[in-house]
Amino acid sequence: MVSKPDRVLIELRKVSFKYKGATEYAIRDISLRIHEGEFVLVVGPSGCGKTTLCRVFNGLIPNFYEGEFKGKAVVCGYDVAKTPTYILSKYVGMVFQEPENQLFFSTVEKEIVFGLENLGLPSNEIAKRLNEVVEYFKLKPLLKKAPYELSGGEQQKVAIAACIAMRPKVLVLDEPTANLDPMSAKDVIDLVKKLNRERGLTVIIVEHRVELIAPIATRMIVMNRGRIVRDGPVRKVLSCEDLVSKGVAVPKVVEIYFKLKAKNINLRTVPLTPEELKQELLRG
Amino acid sequence: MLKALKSFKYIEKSTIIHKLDPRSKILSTILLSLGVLVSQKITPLIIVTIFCIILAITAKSLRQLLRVIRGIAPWAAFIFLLNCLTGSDKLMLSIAMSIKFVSLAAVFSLFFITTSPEDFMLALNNLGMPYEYTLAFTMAMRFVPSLARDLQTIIDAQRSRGLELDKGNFIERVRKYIPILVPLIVYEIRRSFMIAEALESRAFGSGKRSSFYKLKITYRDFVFAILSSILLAVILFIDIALPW
Ligand SMILES: Nc1ncnc2c1ncn2[C@@H]1O[C@H](COP(=O)(O)OP(=O)(O)OP(=O)(O)O)[C@@H](O)[C@H]1O
Ligand SMILES: [Mg+2]
Repeated sequence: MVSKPDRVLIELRKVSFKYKGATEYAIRDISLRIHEGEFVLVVGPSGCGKTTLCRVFNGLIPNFYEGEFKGKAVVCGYDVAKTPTYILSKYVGMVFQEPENQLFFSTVEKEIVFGLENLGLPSNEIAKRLNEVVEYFKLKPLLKKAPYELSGGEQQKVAIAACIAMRPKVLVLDEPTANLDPMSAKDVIDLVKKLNRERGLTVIIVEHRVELIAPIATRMIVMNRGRIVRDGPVRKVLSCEDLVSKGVAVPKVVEIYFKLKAKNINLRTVPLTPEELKQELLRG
Repeated sequence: MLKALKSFKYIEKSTIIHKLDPRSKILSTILLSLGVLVSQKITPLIIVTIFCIILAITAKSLRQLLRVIRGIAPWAAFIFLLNCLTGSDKLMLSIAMSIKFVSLAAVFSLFFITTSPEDFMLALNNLGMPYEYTLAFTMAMRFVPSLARDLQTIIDAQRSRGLELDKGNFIERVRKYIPILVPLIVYEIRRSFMIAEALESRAFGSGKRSSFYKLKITYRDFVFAILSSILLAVILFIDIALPW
């Protein structure tokens, strides 16, 4: 799949949202554009509105959650305020933090088929897509197992597969590894990376483990108190010294970069992985 | 009780019983439970229970069935005592009443042990029930174990903060359940939102759903239905003809 870097998939213009009954806006004046093929990392302290922003991307806000919605959000050509989630879900796949609350059926196969049935696809098309994701995600041995028998990592893999079977243009993941051990977290992230690199799938991921995503993301958005406070290429955003004060857990290698800088050792760029740091140090 | 709830999970197995059409299993469940309800004698009730146990062995699910029976055994004993105490001096009838309870539970749990919730709901769809209703039912089944676990977690948390559930008189004990039920309800409401969100995100609600899985009746289903009907006839006959 050839990605056209100039194609805008998501455009938000001054979007604000206040949940019904809340006194403050959960997100305020959010403006952003997300292009096809981008890999966007969203970070920020707890309660800053990351989940709320994700809900705008597939229309859960303002269709499912009641409240005060201001501004305009266009996703894959649809105005979210006028488009129900079941239509947007054809374009935007959503993976949530708790595997338990997004897997419902007694086998992995039925889990994948559910979304396809909802799209009203004929049986032969469902069978085709089922085969395809089973191949791609290597789900064959799990197909007849119950999702609740699986490990957390496998459960998230199934949740992602169930989304991908619906062939969305954008995959939104809201803290997909929060309940996983480091090994499974890495597996899940590697899978998302593969989808982005091989299929040109646009990815938006909320993740606290910045060190895991920073090396593969193309863009990083930092939120604080409902607003976007930083937005740009990962390296550029990570080279802002005030990130820690904004509640972002920056990777160890970035901390080292700043410590070196304080001692007047200036590396050329912010390293994102230990290897990069090593190379930079050897160079200087 | 909590353990019984937790074991209330369908496990996919590949046996003849699991593969029967859910509609023939529904029919058989209705026939057998009718037989059980009508019967007042010990022999036919025991026959039904044994029939269930044989089916459970065929379905490689004996352990699950026995667990259910063990779970309700105290209640059966309670029914027996109640019948004895309330004057009826017919010992046989008291025994029959508690076996009746056990066999009824066996008939129903056998159905749910060997029928996936999805198959059951597919059968109901085929019998004319709208998909939304049957999905609600699947969800309810699916989240029983989760609910049981949440309840346990909250009880443990409140115990560790000094709540003593089994002290005091009846009113006091009931009152002690408030700090357990309130967080439970709040949490389950939040959970239901998360579930609804996840459902909508997978295109649920568009109203033009297709169905990938189709039910198919085979000769096995006829055999099973005929077998169940014969059993019902035998039960009714024994119930009328034999003294106990
Ligand atoms: N369903 C809701 N109803 C009312 N208020 C809500 C709801 N969901 C979130 N909020 C509020 O909106 C604000 C932003 O919450 P949100 O869940 O978007 O934050 P978050 O960045 O995802 O946090 P976390 O890192 O803890 O997941 C918070 O003040 C929160 O209390
Ligand atoms: Mg969140």
